[in-house]
Amino acid sequence: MNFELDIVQISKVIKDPLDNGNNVFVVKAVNILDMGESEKMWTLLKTLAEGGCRYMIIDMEGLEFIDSAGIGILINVAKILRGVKGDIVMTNVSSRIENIFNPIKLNRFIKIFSSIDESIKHFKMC
Amino acid sequence: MLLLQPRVKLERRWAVLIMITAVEMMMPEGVKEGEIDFDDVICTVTPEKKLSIDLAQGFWIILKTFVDGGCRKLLVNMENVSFLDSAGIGTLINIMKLIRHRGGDLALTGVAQDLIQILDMVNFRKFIKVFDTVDQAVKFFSDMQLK
Repeated sequence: MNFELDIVQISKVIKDPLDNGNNVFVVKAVNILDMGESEKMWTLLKTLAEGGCRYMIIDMEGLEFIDSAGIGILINVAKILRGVKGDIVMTNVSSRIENIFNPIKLNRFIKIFSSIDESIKHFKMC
Repeated sequence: MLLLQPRVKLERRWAVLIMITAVEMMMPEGVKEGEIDFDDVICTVTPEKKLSIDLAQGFWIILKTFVDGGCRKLLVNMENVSFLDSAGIGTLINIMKLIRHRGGDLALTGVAQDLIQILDMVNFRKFIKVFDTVDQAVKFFSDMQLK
């Protein structure tokens, strides 16, 4: 299973390139995020969060299926990142996936943006 | 007349540095949620197209985040890389130093033939293992015991 990972720097003025307050990690979710596949996603996101990543964008463009295990991972990573004054947002959520998020009101806990550029703008204001 | 500039172009200026890598986690045994046993995790990073001076910094940030997060078995798959310069080689050597200091190891796989000539020029293969296939590298990592 492959994940795609981008780094976007939100400011042109760089004091320290390793200062992760300046780096936004964009993780592209895989097409299925259920109990069997979610362990790898959890390992990846936890390693990034423990390694000093503060701002994370989950790109859900290719996501077709998510269950409670996948949602639990998003919530757990959000808790870790908010503990270090970071944040996690989601982009490109399809309407079918958004229908799953609505009953548990996940969009109140994790912000959803329509494009990556908009979420970068959000992090720039942080 | 009102002339609207395409907004994407303006916003792209923030994206000074973009680095795309495919990351694959391989785990021989299942990992429970919560604590992760990094003895079982082999992290494969696949850089795109080239490892040159403008992308080496992003590559360094990604790999350093992985090592800081606890990853100890790092495999760099070079099958998509066709261009490598001194900054790229320096990044690989620096990350090797960092990961060996913490008791893990770094290996390369899928290196193209013309890149091997460059690597041999700096005696690279004497201190970093280069494997032909991913399977050989996975076998090397699964036999390795973390200190």
